[in-house]
Amino acid sequence: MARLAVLASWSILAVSLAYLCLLFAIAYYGDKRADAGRSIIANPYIYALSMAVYCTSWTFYGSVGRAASGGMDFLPIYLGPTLTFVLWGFLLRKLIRICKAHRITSIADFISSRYGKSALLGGMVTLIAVLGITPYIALQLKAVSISFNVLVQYPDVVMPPISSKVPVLKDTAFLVALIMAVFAILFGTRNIDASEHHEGMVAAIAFESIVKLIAFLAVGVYVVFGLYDGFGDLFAAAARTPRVSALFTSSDTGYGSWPTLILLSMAAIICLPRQFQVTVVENVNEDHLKKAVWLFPLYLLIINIFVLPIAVGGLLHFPDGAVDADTFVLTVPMAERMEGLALFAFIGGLSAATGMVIVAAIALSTMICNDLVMPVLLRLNWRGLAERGDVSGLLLSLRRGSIVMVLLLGYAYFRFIGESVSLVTIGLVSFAAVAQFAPAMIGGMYWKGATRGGAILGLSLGFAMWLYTLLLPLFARSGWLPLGFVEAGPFGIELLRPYALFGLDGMDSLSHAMFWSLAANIGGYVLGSLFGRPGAMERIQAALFVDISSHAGAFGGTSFWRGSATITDLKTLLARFIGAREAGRALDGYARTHDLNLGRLREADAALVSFVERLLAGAIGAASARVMVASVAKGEVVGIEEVMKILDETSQVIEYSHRLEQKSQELENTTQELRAANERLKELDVMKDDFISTVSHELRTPLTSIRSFSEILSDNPALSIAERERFLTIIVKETERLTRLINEILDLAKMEAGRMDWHMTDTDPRVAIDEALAATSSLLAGRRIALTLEADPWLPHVHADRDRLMQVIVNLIANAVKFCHGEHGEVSILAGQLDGRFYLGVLDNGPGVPLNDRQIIFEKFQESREPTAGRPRGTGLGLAISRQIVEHFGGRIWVEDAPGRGAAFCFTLPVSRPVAVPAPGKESQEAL
Amino acid sequence: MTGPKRIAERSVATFLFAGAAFSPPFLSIFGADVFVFGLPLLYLYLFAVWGLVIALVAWIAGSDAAPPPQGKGWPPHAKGGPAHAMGGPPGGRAWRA
Repeated sequence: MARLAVLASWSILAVSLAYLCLLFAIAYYGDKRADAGRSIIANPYIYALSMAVYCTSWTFYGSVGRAASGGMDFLPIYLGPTLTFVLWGFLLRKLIRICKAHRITSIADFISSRYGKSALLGGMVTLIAVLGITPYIALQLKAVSISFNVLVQYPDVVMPPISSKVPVLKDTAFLVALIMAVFAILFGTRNIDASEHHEGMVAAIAFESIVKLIAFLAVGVYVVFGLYDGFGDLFAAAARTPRVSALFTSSDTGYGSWPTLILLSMAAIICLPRQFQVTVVENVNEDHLKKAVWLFPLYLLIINIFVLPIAVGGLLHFPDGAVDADTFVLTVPMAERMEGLALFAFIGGLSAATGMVIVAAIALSTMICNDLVMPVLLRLNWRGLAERGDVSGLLLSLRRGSIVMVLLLGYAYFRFIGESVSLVTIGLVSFAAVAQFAPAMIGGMYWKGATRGGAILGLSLGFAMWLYTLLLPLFARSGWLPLGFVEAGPFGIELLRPYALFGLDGMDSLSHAMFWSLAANIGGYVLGSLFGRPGAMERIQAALFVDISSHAGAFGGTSFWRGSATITDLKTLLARFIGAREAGRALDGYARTHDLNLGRLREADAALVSFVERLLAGAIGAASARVMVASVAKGEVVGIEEVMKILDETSQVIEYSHRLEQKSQELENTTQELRAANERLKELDVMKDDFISTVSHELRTPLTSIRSFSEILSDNPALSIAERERFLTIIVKETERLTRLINEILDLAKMEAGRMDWHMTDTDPRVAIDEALAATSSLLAGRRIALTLEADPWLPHVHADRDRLMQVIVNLIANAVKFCHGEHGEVSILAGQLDGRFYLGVLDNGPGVPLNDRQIIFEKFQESREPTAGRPRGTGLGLAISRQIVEHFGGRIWVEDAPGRGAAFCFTLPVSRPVAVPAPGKESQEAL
Repeated sequence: MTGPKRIAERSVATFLFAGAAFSPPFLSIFGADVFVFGLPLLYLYLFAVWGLVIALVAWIAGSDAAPPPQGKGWPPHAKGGPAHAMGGPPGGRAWRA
């Protein structure tokens, strides 16, 4: 007898109650700690565990049932969340940032706020959520009820009778619903907190997640290692039973439903009100996300490992199919007389169910209160409401009432419809409903062009499709509608059959419904947005939501208050909705951070008014908050339309004048260029004239001397041999000079016209220097000039035409020789590296070049003439040619003072191959 | 630490990988009637891929060092151009002779 007493109905109730009391205690402790400022939930582990509220009794009981008929088909519902969490950096983080910045407390608030604080949208979302989630809550109640009724049959393992025969007050499900309502009311609506954090609730949910995980693992471990000898043994036994082994191979549907299920659960993990609540609203620190994004999927993975083994164990244990596979988690331990384990499994299932119900009820009640009832109340009689004293009491009652209503709705659904359908089917219907939020939510985060009209159109079309292709047929199957509606279509119209709409046949009903509802939803959303005109408020909110990172930290100032309100008025308003204590605390906090003395100030500025609006938005929703603040702000709100119009016009004018300015700037630039070109042409013209006259002059000098000496020779045949020799030498010299001059003129003309043939190669400058020295040795012959070369041992190679490079060096040496000191001429050549370029300098100790001449000396026929008048001249083209060559090589040539006296002609060239070893010392050589 | 762009790329790649691995064609392939280590192949495959994806997410999220809100950009990387080693004003060294 003592063995049986463990599963007597009184002991089950006692343990359940004890467990629920423990939950209350944890929640109470969590709230106390939060009040004391020492939160127990502010860490990523609790955060991830609270997300595991995703695993409801659907997971706990239903997955096994699904696995028993469809093999791995239970799994995609858990793979989807993992996929969404892979994209956490794009989706979740942005969602959390937006909601924190705008104090968004529910999905309805999010969508309403995004699309211009539209009360209509908020109401729609709330309605859809309530209608969609009610079956889900019913599912939990059904699971608790069935599991209890199965358990009390012990030691028999039989399915319980249909519960509708039980009077409501004796129905376990009803009692459970009531207890859940009490819990949700106690820890979900303790006070109207502006931040809407429910730390106690989160702590309790996290605890429940641990309990259900351990309970499920316990059953799994027992089945695999207690009943069988490990996984291998279990699966081997299964393989011997054809009906069971069929589960391991390709399913009948060929995995066609997997993409639908994955997609559905991807949407559900952010669109389910309870997931939104724990993931977004209850998030205390964005950084927790980084750990939670893999901890939560890991939780899902662990809890799912034993689903298939339990299903297999159950099928092998109850081969006749008399036991519903949804109850295997309980019935297998029961059949094995493991009372303790069975009871623990029941508690695990209870915690899975209660966790979901509590969070869903709280989330839905916030929506119902803020986005459905308050806007209506305000609209109907907001003056009366506005004049009432403390409204926070009303708000709390509203929320508590909503919680009770939601749970009663769930119970009613369970009582009248839920009996005939399996757990997973009910859950999927809910998923499909909330998936309708996904386009408006995700689109709203990334697409600024999305409008209120589009969101309304998409949501209503998608919802209508869901209703028609999923919910109504479910009603029909439960006997609430004639079954002919499903089989033959309404009024016998085949084309409108809800499971094969417009003749779309051959899909499973869920994929079919998802296809139509999402097609209608997204289509309506996109087209409605593209063909509608967004209002100003929508555009502002769109920008704030989409560009959240650039607006983060900026005051969510979406209101343009022309006048202002008195601080007292604002405080009273706040106090009415969130209570005097909270209001005082919030305003004090604001004053502290903004360095204000609210006691002295009378008028609140626009920023403070906006702050109050956001605070209120946390408590009563964005749309209502706006109305309430407008009721106390003196002077009206500047019409947003007006502001936007002003902004639009201003920006247009700015844009226009900006473009004008650009145009005139361009015009001015062109004129300037033209003028410069003209100047240059004139200059060139003058230069050409000069050049021709200079060239003719330069050519005439040698010609004249040649002619005169030739005449002397021809006119005076009696000249002595020595005389003749002398004159002939002069003639030869002058002829050579003439040739050189003409060659140089040709060279220069070619270079200037760009018709020069360059043989650019990788050149070792040392070779060029050596050749130049050799070529100029004749110049030095017979003159007392000391030529020294000082070069780094490793000279970098340059990309140049070797002959031309040599020509430059020759020119510079010739130039130096020509101008150096008459008596003690000194010419030195320095070669090396300077700033990563090849450098060569030729120094003389002549008179130097006056500052004024340093530019023009490189022009054609521009020698520095004055001090050296009468000295033998060059052609006057050497430096001009040198400059042309050096510049062609990409280098620079210039002249400066040599140390002491004299001029230094230097040039640098870009390096083609840097030296491998920087020169540590120098090699010095006497050239001559 | 890894930049936000690389994090985003890795996330998307992981997402695509997981999406492909869980697609019907792959499931059909691994749905063969084969047992590995005494486990059905599909069962093993699904949990292995799933575990791998979770490990990847953990790794990616762990390497994310982006500061919480604020600041759209991040400090640009220091541009270490080639140092101008060959210093000295023009002529400075050359004139030492």
